[in-house]
Amino acid sequence: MNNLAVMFLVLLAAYGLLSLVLSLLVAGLWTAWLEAKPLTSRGLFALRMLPSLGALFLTWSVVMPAFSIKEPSRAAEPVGPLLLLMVAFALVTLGAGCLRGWRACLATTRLLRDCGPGYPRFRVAGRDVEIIDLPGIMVAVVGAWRPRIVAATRVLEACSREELDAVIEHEAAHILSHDNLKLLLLLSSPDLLASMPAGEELIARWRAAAEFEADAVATAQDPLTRVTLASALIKVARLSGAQRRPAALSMPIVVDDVDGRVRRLLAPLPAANTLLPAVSIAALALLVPFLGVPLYGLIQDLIEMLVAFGR
Amino acid sequence: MTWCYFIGADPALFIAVSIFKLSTSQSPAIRSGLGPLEAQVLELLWERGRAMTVRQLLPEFPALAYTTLQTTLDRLYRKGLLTRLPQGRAFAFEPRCSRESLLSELVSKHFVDVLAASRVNTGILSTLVQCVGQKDAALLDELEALVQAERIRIQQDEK
Repeated sequence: MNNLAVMFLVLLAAYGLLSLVLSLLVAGLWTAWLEAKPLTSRGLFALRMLPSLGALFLTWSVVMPAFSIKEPSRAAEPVGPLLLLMVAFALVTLGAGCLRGWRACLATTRLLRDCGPGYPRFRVAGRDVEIIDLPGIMVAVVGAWRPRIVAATRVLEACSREELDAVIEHEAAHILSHDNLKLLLLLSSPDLLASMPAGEELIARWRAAAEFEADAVATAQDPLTRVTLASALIKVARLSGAQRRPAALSMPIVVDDVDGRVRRLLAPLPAANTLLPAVSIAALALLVPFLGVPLYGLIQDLIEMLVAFGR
Repeated sequence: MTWCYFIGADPALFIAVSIFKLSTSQSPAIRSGLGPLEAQVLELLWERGRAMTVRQLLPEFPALAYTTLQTTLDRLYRKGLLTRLPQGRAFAFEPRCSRESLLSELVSKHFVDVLAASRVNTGILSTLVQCVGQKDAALLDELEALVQAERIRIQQDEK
């Protein structure tokens, strides 16, 4: 096998191994410590994406330079079964992530196709809202790339103008923070964490945190707007009944989180913690390639062991 | 439920496993996903059959701190399993429903999930959904009362 093919296999195996280690690390940290901490949606998003993005980053910034610089050029090198096993694991992980993302996109496309282009629209709080009666959706932002706000006729009939303004401001806050795109990334993140309970809990907590933050943005700390939004949430929840959340990429108001949200709107809590400020994460990411340079020799030895194992 | 979707298992098999799980000797409180302490407190409140304050319950849990017991009761209240009645400067807690109601609610919820997963017979599904919806309606009534009280308080403050 030539050097380029071996490098491709090594990078895949490195991604698989690193994403596995980081998935276990995040799941352990979450269960032992972070689960009980109030975290912002940004912190939860970063934590959930760490195994896949961290593994990708380390593979490209540390493993690939180490292999490129230290690997002696040889015409052909056979690879052992352990490397192939790890490559297979990485491919399954990547494939499963793509499949989850594709299924979410497909469900959204179907839903948007059902919505169609010609539904009546009206403007609330400076936004176009489409009046569409879809099963399971009362008010929602649908779609990851060009999100649309949709509302059922019953919601428009039940809510006052002030309540509608508050609800649409809430949905607009989701659009501004690109929550549907983040949801797509969370669902399709290619790592083992996606198959672990901690991964599901992280996404559920991220959804809840995103809702709380959209409520806070929509009400802008105004007590009367908070009460108005709380009242609207209750009305929408009554209309929703026990309908199930659709699988599409949407941020609908669902009955199971209304309790916590109404109580929080009436008695706001102090802001939750971000795990690390974005500047610190960026600085750390810039340092990693340099910190990895002295380890190139060790990394190359490990790669050689891996390639040769069982050969 | 997730693994049923994930591996594409036969829903009938899942129903059988669920019924087996529900028919084991565990208490309904444990089965509803409560922690061991939460289950113990709930079982005790069912046994006593009346509203009790943290101070009244504390002798039954000598190893626990007052705050731990209070947190446990608050958590059960937030999960909708207890109701809270003002008693002097404290709250007295009592179970929102009987042991049997909780068990029947768990069974209903389980079957709603199973039927939704297997996409069969929406007629039966809507009846069971209405059962679940009734509990939600009570919660929403309580929340609406809180919202009204807050609205009145804000209006009075503005005056």
